[in-house]
Amino acid sequence: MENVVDTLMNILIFVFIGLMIWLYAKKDPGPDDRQEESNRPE
Amino acid sequence: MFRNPLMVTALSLTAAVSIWGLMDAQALAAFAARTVSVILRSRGWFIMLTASALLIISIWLALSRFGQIKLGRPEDEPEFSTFSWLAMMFAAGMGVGLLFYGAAEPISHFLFIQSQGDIPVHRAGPTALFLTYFHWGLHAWAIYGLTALVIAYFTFRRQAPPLVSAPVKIVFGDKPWARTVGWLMDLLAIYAIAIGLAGSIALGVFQVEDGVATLFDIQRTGLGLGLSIFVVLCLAYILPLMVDLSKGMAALSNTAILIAISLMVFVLLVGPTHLFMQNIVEGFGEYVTNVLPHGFRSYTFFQESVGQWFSAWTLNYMLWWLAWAPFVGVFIARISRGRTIREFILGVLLAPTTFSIFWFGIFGGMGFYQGAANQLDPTVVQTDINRTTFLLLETMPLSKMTIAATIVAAFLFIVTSVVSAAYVLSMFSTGGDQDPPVKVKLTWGVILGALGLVMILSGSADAVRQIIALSANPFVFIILFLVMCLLKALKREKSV
Repeated sequence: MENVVDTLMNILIFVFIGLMIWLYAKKDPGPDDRQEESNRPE
Repeated sequence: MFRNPLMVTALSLTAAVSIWGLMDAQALAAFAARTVSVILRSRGWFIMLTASALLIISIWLALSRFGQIKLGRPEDEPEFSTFSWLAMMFAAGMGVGLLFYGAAEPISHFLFIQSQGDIPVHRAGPTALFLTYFHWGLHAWAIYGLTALVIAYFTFRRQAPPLVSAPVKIVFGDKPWARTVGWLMDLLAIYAIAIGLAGSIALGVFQVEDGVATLFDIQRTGLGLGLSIFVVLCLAYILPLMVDLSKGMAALSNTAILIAISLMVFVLLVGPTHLFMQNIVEGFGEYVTNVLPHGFRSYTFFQESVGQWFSAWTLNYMLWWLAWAPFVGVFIARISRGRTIREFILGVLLAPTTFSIFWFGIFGGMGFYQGAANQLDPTVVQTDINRTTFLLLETMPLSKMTIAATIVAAFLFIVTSVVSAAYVLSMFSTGGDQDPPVKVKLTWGVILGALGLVMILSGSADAVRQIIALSANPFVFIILFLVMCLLKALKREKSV
C-alpha cells in the first residue's frame, strides 16, 4: 500500500513537471497578445 | 469581506481544522505527522530540487538582462530606505526563530554528527555550522524572494492586484481553468497564511514563556503564563494595525533588528571574539564551497537515523519556508516597489544570508565554546531547545538585561509577523487593495489571535509544527507555477 501511494505521488510530480514545461513552451494568446491582435489593421 | 465566497471557504476550512484541534489535539497531530511523513518520504527529492531550482533561477534572473527591469514605472522610487526594507523583510521572514535557534541548532547538529561517528571531531563544528547556514541561508530566501518577485512584478509592472492568483490570470487570460486554478491558489494561500501565522503565534508564545520563566525563575504550571503573554501580545499588535504600514512596521522591525544586532555584538565582544571570527570564516568557507551541491543532497544510501534527521531538519525547514512564502512573499513585494529585479534579488538573497552567517557563527560558536568549557550542558537542545539561548546568556555578564532584551526582540518579531500577515490577508479579502481599511485589518488581527489561542490551548509545539507543514505542502507546486508565469511574462516583455 505504501509503495502504491509513493508511486502515485511521484507520478503526480512527473505530470506536474510535464504540465509546467508544456504551459511554458505553449504559444498561448494572453491579454497582451490579444491587445496586439485587436490593434492590428484588418 | 464575509460576502466573498473565497473568504467564507477559507475561513470555514481554517475553522474546521481549529475545531478539530480543540476537540482532539492528539488525533489532529497524529494525522498531520503521519501525512507529513508520507509526503516527505515520497517528495523529499522534489522539495530539495524545487528549493535548488528556485535559487538557481534567482541567481540567473539577477545576472541576466531581465535584472535591469524595474518593479514599477520608470519614475518610481523605493518607498523605504534600504535598511528599513531589509529590516522589515528579515523581521517578517525569520525574526523570532533566529533568537531561539541561534545556539540551539548548531549544537543540535554537532551532537548528531558526533553520535554518528563518521566525521572527525574537529570537523563536527564547521559541518554543524554549515548545515545551519544551509537551512537559514540562500535556499530559504530564494523561496521567499522568487514568490515576492512574482507578486511584485505583476503588481507594479503589470498593474495586477497583489494576489497569488493574479499572475495566472494575466499570463493565461481569463479562461475558466485559469480562474479555477487562481481561485484554488488564493484559497490555499489564505489557509496556509492563517494556519502558519496562528502556529507562529503559538510557538512564539511558548518561546517567550520559556524566556520569562528563566528571567523571573518561575515554575510553569498550566497555561496561565502562556495565556498572559498571549493577551499582552494581542494588545501589542492592535496599535500597529491601526496606523499606516510604513510607520508601524518600519518602526517595529527596525527596533527588533537593532536589539538583535546589539545582542549579537554584545556576545561577540564579551565572548571569545577570535574564536567566533574563526568559526564564522570557517563556516562561511564551507558554505560558499558546498551550498549548491548540498541543495541536491537527499541522503539516499545512509543509515535510517540520518534519513530521519534529514526529514526532521532540512525537509521540515524547506516546508516551513514554503508555508511562510505566500505571506512573506506578498509582504516583501508590497515594500519593494521601485527597485530593479537585480537589486531586489541581490538584497533579498545576500543581506539576510550574511546576517544569518554572523548570527549563527557567533551564537553557535558561543554554544560550542560553553559546551567545551562545561558551562552549558549541550543536551539541553534535546530536552528543552527553546531555553538554550537563555541558558547561554545566563552564563554571561549582564544576563538579566540580555535575557530581557531577547524577550522584547522576540515579542516585537512576533508582533511584526502578525501585523504583516493581517495586512496580507486584508489585501486578499479586499480583492487586492494595497491599503486595506483598518477595520478589515483589525478583523484579521482578531481572527489570527483566535486561531493562535486554539493552538496554544493544544499545548503541543510539535503538533503545531506538523499542522503548519501539512498546510504548506501545496506550495511546492504553487510557487513553481508562479515562477513559470513570471518567466513566460518576462520572455513576452523582452520580445515585444
